[in-house]
Amino acid sequence: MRPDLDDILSGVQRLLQNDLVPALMTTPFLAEQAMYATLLLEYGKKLWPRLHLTLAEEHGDLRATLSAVVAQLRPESPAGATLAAAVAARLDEPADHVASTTLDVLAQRNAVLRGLVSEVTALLDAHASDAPGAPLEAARATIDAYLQRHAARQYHELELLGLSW
Amino acid sequence: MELQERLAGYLSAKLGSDVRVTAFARKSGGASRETYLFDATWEEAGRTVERGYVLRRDPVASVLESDRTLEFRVLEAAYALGIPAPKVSFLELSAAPLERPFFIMERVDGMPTPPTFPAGYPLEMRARTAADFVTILAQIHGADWRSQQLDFLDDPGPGTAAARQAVAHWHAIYQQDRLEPHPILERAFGWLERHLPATDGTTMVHGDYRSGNYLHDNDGHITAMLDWEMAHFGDPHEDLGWATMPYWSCEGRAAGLEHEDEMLLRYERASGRVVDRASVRFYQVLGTVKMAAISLTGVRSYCDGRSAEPTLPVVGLLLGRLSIELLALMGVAATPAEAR
Repeated sequence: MRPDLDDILSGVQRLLQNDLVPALMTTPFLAEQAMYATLLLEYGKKLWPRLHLTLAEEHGDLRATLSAVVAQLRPESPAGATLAAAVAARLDEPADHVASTTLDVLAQRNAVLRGLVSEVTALLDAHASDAPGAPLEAARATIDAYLQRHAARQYHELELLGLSW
Repeated sequence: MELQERLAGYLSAKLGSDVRVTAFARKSGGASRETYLFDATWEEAGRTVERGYVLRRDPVASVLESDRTLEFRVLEAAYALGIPAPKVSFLELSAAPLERPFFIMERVDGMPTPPTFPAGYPLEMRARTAADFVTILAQIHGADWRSQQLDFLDDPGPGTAAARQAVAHWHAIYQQDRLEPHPILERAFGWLERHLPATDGTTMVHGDYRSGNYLHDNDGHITAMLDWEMAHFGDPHEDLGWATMPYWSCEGRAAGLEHEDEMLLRYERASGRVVDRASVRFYQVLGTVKMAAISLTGVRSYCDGRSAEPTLPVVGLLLGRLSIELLALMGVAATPAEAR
């Protein structure tokens, strides 16, 4: 038997809470730092078991969003067609199956795809003065719906901290 | 030599007397500078002087890279203009005395609040704080700062320049400190570019005017406005947007004090200015983006190994709340409460 990650982080938490924080009570600043460190360990314990699933879910959402946007951008303008081609090329790249991809590689891929969402957002902003009903509105709606799901995922991570804001 | 001893040596040289430093303690918070409280005692003209001070020392890394000379000079001017602010004493730009540049100001009596006014405080107390909070802001915006030798501060003047400069400033910080793309922030910067408000004229903008940045007495009256390191000339709506943005709100009260509409009406009465609600909304979006950029700066410091303060990644996680608030402010999503 060997300690798993939860055992290790829990042990460090006990050390901080039971020994270090009481010893630091005469220096409130350091005691506060130790308490925040405990909080971060708790966050890590809650995040870690589901992290691969969370990244895989985001990866699927990003690919679905960008695939939809490619279809919506392509016919609209030369700039839209160029960006649509770039996004499509990235989506067509051969990739290992998500389930067999390590966390850091998956996180990096998601960051690249999120960068493409940002590029699409910039393109949409450049055409924001187009008349209402312009075809790019469909792409804007697709991106905005993704942004809401993305914000909800980020908020869920914040909730793992266990602090109320 | 310990920091406390070095400080005593510094003050002894400055005051020409043997200074004793006691009750020296680092204060929690103070995200942009290390903040220490202490008492100093010395002999002057045959009598013993004892005074409380605050040391604000540059950090190794922080959530906000700011200019301590600017903060010192603006505090000096605020005090001279009769605005409730600490009286500054010494500015030291050399790293020799205390390892990093710092300044020292006199300690003001009063209690701090958390970033939103505590919900449990008595209603009458909150009403007094709300009145002072708005009155002092109107005083800041109406004071003759240009008489105070603050020429080193850029003044964008009337029109959209103030808003454009503010957006450009925080966009540059976002681009410099982000570790990965943040499409919601990119969306917000695009929204800001398309909604730049014009101002009739610029005033001093405190830059961090909110609950948590003032001291109050037992009755709730504000004794000093603190944390002036982001002060600049700009659109007065910038302070209103920052003070009333959802991030600092509590139970539907702006800054934890009173409803946003009440606060803005109170400001109109106190300042004689007409508040443009669209400008306030613009600066609420900008304020939320600014808070996100500040949190990313902290995360960058932590991930680069320049700081080990665990508060920095905690602040970085606040992006989860700021993102939801941004989408609601831009009309992209429901209100934060509904979106959760």
